[in-house]
Amino acid sequence: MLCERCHKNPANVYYSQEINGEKKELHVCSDCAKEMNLSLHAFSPESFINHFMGQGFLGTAGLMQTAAPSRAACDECGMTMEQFASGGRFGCAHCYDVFAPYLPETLKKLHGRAAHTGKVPARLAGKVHVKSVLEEKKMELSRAIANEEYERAAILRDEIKKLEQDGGDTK
Amino acid sequence: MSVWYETAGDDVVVSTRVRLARNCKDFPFRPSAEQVGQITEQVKAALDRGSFPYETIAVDALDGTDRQALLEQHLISQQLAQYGGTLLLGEDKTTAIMLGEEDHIRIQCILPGLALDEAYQTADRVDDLIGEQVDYAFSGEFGYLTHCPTNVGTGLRASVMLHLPALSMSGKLRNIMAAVPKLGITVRGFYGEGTEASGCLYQFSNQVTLGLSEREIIGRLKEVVGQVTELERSERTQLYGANKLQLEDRVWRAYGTLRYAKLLTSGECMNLLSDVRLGVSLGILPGLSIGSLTKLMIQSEPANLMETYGKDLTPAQRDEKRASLAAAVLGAQ
Repeated sequence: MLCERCHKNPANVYYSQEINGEKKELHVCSDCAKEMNLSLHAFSPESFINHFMGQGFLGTAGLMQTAAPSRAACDECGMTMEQFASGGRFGCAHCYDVFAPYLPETLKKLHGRAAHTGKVPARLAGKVHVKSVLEEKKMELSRAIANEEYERAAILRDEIKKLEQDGGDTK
Repeated sequence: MSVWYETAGDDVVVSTRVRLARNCKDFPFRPSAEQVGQITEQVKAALDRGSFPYETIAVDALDGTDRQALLEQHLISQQLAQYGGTLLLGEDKTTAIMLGEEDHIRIQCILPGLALDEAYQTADRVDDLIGEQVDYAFSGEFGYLTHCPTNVGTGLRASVMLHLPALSMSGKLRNIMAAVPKLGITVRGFYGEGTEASGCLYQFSNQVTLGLSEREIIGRLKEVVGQVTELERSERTQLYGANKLQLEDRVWRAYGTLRYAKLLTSGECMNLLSDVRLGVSLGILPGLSIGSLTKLMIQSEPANLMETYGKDLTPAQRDEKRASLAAAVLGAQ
């Protein structure tokens, strides 16, 4: 089915919520889910995402004990946010798309960062590859400058220029 | 190149291990047995195409002792030993590709001594081979997608096994263990996650897998391991200088027990080997090689003993065989 909000993209995020016994359901695309992040939080007396981040995956059980938790489920494997939050493991690769709006905060807690800057599979070489290399170089450049490694920074700056001239998406 | 424990590491670093976690795009993270079969066939086809020689070991079909023996040799993970799966073991036994693990594909390279760059390069090459044929689950934003988000991004876990008797004795290891998590490094016991340190052996590995490049992850771990290695070396010298007789007594007692005891439990053997290894590194026992001690450490583990001397050995018989094996290894040098 198409997204019930933008009516353009396929709906891959499912939300349901019960308020005073009344069930609300919504099928939206990842982009809309991302944009709706704030309004969805507003449904709940306590931001459920804070419970998701703070207690479930990283700590104690008994997550999602809010009065009216929102629900998001992967349309491929059926994994819900509660299941992920209590088990700490995703059901399939598609879960990463579905839960993408909420992932950066979790990933920052785990890794300090939320974006991949490493290797890209050869089969996906092209735009993704250039983008990642560019981002990695830029991050390395910032670190080199912060560490006052100016010779290395100059080399990195030239490499970045060349990558950008070669048509990489600088994002 | 032969299996890691048949070649000597150095006086502090026993071995280096690198593993990459990969999943296939089209299968759930917990695939059915049939899907694991399909993944296995895809990976084997990729390795064949790349002329990568390997042996197929169906861990499912192995009995408990065989599985435990592979685990003791660090060639399979605890999960594979417990739940089964398939191991594609490279001809030189340095590369182990585990299928049906927590992630669909886990590529591991294990080498003696400190060899992070070499281990990563080997795993990376195998990853490229497989990646040519298999559609990996990958996102430009989050990198290689894994069952557990603690592995997402690079999917890279690099670990180095260090022998740290002097830092353990002086108590300084506690401070190091408290400090390294701030650098994104974790310290674990001999067999990895959730295991106790045995024989003063500790695994240092990267915690962070996302937001850093593979090169940066390897570089950070190398830096920390290098510093800890130097600290251990200087602590050994200091300890020996301040307590020469006591340390020599401890080392020779360990040597004497290992060489002449008639019964040795696995735990006792590990601890004695630790003292003897320290003695060799300080020149107290000049005739022995570190390599022979590492090999003995693995061969004297329960399941490996049973593989050599018979699977029907009772624990008491194992203790006897372990003692005679240790006597033979030490007596030969």
